[in-house]
Amino acid sequence: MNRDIYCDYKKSVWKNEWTITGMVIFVFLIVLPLLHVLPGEDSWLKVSNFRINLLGKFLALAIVALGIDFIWGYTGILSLGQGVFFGLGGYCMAMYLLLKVGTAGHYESNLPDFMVWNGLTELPWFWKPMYHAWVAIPCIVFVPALCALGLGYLTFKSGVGGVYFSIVTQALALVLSITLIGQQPYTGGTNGLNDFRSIFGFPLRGPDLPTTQLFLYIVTVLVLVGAYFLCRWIIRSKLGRVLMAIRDDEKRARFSGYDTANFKIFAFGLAAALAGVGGALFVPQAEIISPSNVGIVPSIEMVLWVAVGGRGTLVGAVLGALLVNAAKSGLSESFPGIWLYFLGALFMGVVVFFPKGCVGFLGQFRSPGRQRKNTLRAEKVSVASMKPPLS
Amino acid sequence: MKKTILAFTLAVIGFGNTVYSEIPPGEINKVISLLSDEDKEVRKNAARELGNYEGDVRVLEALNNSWSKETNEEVNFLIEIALNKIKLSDHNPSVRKAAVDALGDKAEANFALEEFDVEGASLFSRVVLEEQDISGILFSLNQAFGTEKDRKVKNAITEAIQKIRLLDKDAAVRKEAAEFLDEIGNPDTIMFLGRAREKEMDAGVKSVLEKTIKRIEKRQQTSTTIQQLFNGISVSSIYLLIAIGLAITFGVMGVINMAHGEFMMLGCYVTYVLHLFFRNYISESAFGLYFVLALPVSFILTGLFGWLLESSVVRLLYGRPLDTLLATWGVSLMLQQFIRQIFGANNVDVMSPLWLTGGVSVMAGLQLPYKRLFIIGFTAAVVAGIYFLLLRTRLGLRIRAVMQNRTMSDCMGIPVRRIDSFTFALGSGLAGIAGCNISLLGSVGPSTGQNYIVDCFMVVVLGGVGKIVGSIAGAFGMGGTNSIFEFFTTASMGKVLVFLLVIAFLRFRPTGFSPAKGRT
Amino acid sequence: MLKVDYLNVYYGESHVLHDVDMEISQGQIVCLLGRNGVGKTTLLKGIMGVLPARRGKVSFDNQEITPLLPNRRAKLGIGYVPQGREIFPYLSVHENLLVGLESRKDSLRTVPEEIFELFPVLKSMLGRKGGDLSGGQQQQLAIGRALAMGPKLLMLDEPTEGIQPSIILEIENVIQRIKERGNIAVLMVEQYLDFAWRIADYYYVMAKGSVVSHGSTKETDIEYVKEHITV
Repeated sequence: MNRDIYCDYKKSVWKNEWTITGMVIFVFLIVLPLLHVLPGEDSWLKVSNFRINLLGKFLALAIVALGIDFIWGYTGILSLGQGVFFGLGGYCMAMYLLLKVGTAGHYESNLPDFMVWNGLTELPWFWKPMYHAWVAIPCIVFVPALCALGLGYLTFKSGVGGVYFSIVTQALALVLSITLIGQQPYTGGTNGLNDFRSIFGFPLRGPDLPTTQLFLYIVTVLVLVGAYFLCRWIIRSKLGRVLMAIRDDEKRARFSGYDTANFKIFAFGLAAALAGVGGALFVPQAEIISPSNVGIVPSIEMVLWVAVGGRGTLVGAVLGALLVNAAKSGLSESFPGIWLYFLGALFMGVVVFFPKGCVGFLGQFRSPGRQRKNTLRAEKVSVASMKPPLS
Repeated sequence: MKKTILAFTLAVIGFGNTVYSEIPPGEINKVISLLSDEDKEVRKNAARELGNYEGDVRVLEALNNSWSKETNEEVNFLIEIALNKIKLSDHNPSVRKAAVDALGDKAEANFALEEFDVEGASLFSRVVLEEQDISGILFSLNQAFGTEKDRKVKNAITEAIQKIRLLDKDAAVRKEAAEFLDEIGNPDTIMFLGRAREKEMDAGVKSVLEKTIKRIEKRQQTSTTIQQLFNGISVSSIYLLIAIGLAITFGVMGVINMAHGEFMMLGCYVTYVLHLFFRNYISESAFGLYFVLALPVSFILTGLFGWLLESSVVRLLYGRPLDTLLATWGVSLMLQQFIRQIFGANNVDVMSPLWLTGGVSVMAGLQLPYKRLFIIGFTAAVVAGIYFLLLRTRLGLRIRAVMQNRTMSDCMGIPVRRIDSFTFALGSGLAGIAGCNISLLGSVGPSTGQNYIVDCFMVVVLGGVGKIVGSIAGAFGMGGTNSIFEFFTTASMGKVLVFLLVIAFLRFRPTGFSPAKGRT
Repeated sequence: MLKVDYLNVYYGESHVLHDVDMEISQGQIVCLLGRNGVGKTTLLKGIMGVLPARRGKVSFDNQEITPLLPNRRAKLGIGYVPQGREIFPYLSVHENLLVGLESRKDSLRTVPEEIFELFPVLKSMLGRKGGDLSGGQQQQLAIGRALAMGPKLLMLDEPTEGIQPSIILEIENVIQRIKERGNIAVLMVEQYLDFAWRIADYYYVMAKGSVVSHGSTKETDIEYVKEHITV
């Protein structure tokens, strides 16, 4: 982002930012839970259990979207494998939850039901540490982050970027889902991990489930707010400006003396950690995690959330995740055939006509000064100035 | 050696004649009725007798009937022998050969190991060939050998005779039979020989059998290796055929068409529709032509579709390769759903043309299917065609110029946008033609494209920008390692390992197989 | 023949050319002078169409060409030899020259013999890859390639930069011969003032994205121009 736009942005938009952010947080954290608890069953103001739970899931996904926005919108790296990190975090959480079931499962064994069913007699080694919350919870953050740092090191350090990187991460998503399906005795296969009983003492079934769901919802909101401010803080620091410089012109950033690979690795790692956290919060609310949450299609859908909301703005990422998922749960249930067309058209439409997403679209109406600059920026550059990546 | 076999055969015929006597024709009905006698020994003898009536429909019918009704295993065993003996004079050589093989395999019954349950009782009532049955079978086989004209059946008879002779009491005869079988060296007999070895007491015969088994095993190993190698090449050429269109587009425009897999899938369905059309409306003799027609039709249709996509969407996204990725992904989702709604979500089968069924037998137990050979050949032709286009034509010169320096090509008067459109259409058309080939390999469905495309993306990544050689190396690298890993581990583990290898490879050669740019 | 009116060109957000005017008549040799970073190369790119004009217009042969893509401008007869030569490294010398024929109207498919008369060295290297040539040979190839287009206007961006003196002489010779023939105008960005002064009929001096001085080389004292361009 160009500096005068950045300053402009700072002045006109962020002046009101605190009030707006504060109001949004207030609505999600206080108003909605109150509307959930207080009104009577048939009041029109009542926010049902179902809605609270749904919203909780969407907000967990919004955390993933924040991460994607961080690497894609701000650093210019398109990862088509965020489902992998979402899955890693989610599976860590699910393993912990399943081990807490103990002998209360269907087979009354120490092992999770699916392992008994698959003929395992002993817990696999990588499941063992997950008994303890103090291992499982750090794993939610560090397993995805370390994987991303590793992959980032191997690719960015050798100068693999752009389209190449996107394709490699997509292959990663394929590989993870193949592994999860193929290693059924250890991972639950296609069915994934499900049938949890409780989380930190709160029951995940039975009459008290709504209380747990409300609790999970509030935790999710808090984590999302935390993640939002973390990203915001980083983006407005010097580090963030380097990341944006890399996005706008990586060569120039490198010539200015920055080891861009390290910055990209960091951004990728952070995005992965956020995806992992999102996954971990998603699992107890969805009560399942399976390979269908981590493969190629879900991974690329995650990118769509950010594209729809508006890349390069954190609010856009959150907004996009909520909008697209709301549309999905509405459309895919009533018209499953239409949903894929809709998804495809959304991809094309947003990318071609609204590359700045909802936020950019709305922003055009708000400040005429910015609009002019935006159109200037979008001015067509001759085809000839396009260069293939890695040249 | 052939002569020895013949001499031996004649000797046995003489021997056989002394055992069997003709039954007068009037008694056939009586013998048939004996098949439903209460005493199983009577039934057994009736079955033995009936085996000698060749060419009588009633006998065949009766045997078939009682075979399906009979509950006693020993009697059934003899009925089977009788049936096969009669079938030895069938007019169809493949029926004769099946009968010969069946008779030969009957010897296996005597080698079967007894299995006992926990209490020590035999698990199966063991049926064995008795002395008279052995000589009966030998007699029939020898007779058949004398009249047989078909070379394949004749060879089968020789083998069956030697198998039966392995049951002889005389160790010398057994040894002779084992040596014959060693010389024939049919890999299909390996199980049979293994069982014979287990039961064999005589050290000399045993060592001959041992040697034969070893030799066959070794040959089998060679044939599996060749098979594996062939599979590797075949898979690689499929990767290459799909990836080459992608690679050209990537080289010229710097964009990856995520809908490439779906274009390929469209090619599959074009083939499917043409195959349906030919099957239902065109005479059967011309059916094989559908595939010849499908190749250009799928090329042109998907090419047009690609041209449409380029000029409507991709063109708007110039200079934004990542956005192109997402937009074309949207197209791929819609195409999948479109096909799903028209043709259903289930896979459809495309019947291969007759001229592509079957294969070349390279050695015993190793057949290279014509379809795969066709795909390999076709890929080679496509690669050669593309090389010709790029290196020998004016259009190719323009394409290469744009690949190397877009701006300068524009300044030299090359219509860069037209080249882009053409390249994209060509790449898409190649995807369609690849789909046409893929439909030969099995059923195709709306997600067929997805099954291949990630691997092909990896081929492009491995190949690097703008060099066809790179794509060829990438395809063979992927295909080769894939089949090696799949051979040693499971298919899913193979995929994981290949992916790790690709990442590791990129660590050391980030530009893939094609060399870095020289001085400019 | 070439007329540039109030041309404004931007690099992304930064405004590089401010209201540049320029005129070149047929067969005229014009040199464009100025310190580093004043927008000389940008002006050439603006004329060629590699960078779009945001305001102002470019006309060629009394026809406005401002909205045209570079390949259309090339077809009208503008030949461009960019800074750093930008020959096609993996094409052979012969193929590089063949690309030059792309914009010709007469659909000639063989490289005209006069190119080899001007640059005999190219004839002996037809099969070599462009990327394997030395800097000087690449420069000759780039000029040869542009001449193969049969241009009416030839734009040279620092043709003598980083090239051994013997080849500079050859290039000077070639430009001299073009001048004598009088059917190709030349617009040449040049740091090497003496070289430029020897050949050019007319000069333009740029500073901070604008033309600050121009005139005939015959009527202007070289010392006056030196003041403008030395640091």
